[in-house]
Amino acid sequence: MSKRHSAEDVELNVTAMLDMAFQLLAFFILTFRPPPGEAQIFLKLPPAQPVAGMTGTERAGSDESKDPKDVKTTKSVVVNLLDRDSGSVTDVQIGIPSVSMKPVPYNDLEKELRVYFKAKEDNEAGQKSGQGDYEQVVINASPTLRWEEVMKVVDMCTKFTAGKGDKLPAVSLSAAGPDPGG
Amino acid sequence: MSGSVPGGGVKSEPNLTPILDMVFQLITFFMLVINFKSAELDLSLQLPVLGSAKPLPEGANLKLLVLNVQICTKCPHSGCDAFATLRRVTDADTKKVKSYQLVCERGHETDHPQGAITNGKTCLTVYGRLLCKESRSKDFPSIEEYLRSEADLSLMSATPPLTRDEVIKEGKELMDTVVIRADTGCRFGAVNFVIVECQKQGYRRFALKTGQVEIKTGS
Ligand SMILES: [Zn+2]
Repeated sequence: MSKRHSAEDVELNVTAMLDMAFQLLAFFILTFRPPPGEAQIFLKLPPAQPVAGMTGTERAGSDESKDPKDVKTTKSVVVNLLDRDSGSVTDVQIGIPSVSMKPVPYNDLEKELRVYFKAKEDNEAGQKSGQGDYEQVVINASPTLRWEEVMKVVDMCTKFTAGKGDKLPAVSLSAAGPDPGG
Repeated sequence: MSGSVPGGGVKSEPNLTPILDMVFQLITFFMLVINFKSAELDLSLQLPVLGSAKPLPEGANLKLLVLNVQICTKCPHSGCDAFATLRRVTDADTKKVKSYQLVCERGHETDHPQGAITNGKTCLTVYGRLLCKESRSKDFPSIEEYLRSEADLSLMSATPPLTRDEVIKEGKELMDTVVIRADTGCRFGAVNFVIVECQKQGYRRFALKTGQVEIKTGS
């Protein structure tokens, strides 16, 4: 090497650079965290009481019944989830609030929901049956209920109300009271 | 003579240039895969696990507002006025939760007997800050103030830009999707409070986050 370069020749010290590069590499390796494998349920949740004059552009998953411009109202099934302050579901009621709310065992909720949405499936399959064309489930849960429990019911409801194509499931959430926490 | 000197006549120095190249390539790789997005995710949260939830579709170009919903309480450490959230301490081998701790914003760790905070406050974790229903200082706005400022950004970036009145009075909606990452131990009232506050700001699209599901590719 000295044959080709004079003594004054500046040579880049690659070793120092390599040291630095290794340190940088160590930093990036140590801070590397694989992204969490998360999933989600997409919902369109309009406010419980939309302001007057709202345009009727909302489609799937929306509670259109309060829209004055929309003649067709969305028929909603309401599921009440009570927890008696325990955090877990103790009582389940299903029905139409203005008509009747029927208490059902938690384990039968899926079956009961199917009754309301079976008619819709039949209609789509070309068979007419008397039951109404329910489109939306409103989950009205106690504010002290654990989120996990609510999500289980959301999961159940999305199976019935999942829209076709890129429509979002028609599930809406409401709390039977204010958030107890400050 | 030439055989006795290692390397012979040419002075042998390992050529470090290829290794340097390789290291720089590795650095580039890790810099590219570093996930700044996961900084806004509070990974201490335990999300509910469900069957019907789907992973985010590949290439989905959604604008997201990630909200980590949690329950917090006053730090039990004496003289500390910060808020603390629950942390699950997992066993390194079995990955099972073995104990619980309260960890406050200043880093105090206190053992906690149960896996839930009773009578806690509803809070959002935003890059390590805990935002409660009331504003605590300039750096700790209330949940409402925080969501308002996020909504303002969203209004400005909408095409065409929207005004607050159009959203509040005329019911125009913000196109951003609010990602609700709520802990399983959260009470529904807390999550509902956050959802209602978002709705007041004009958000209509929500994604309820669930935990690890086996990731199916394609579809
Ligand atoms: Zn503290």
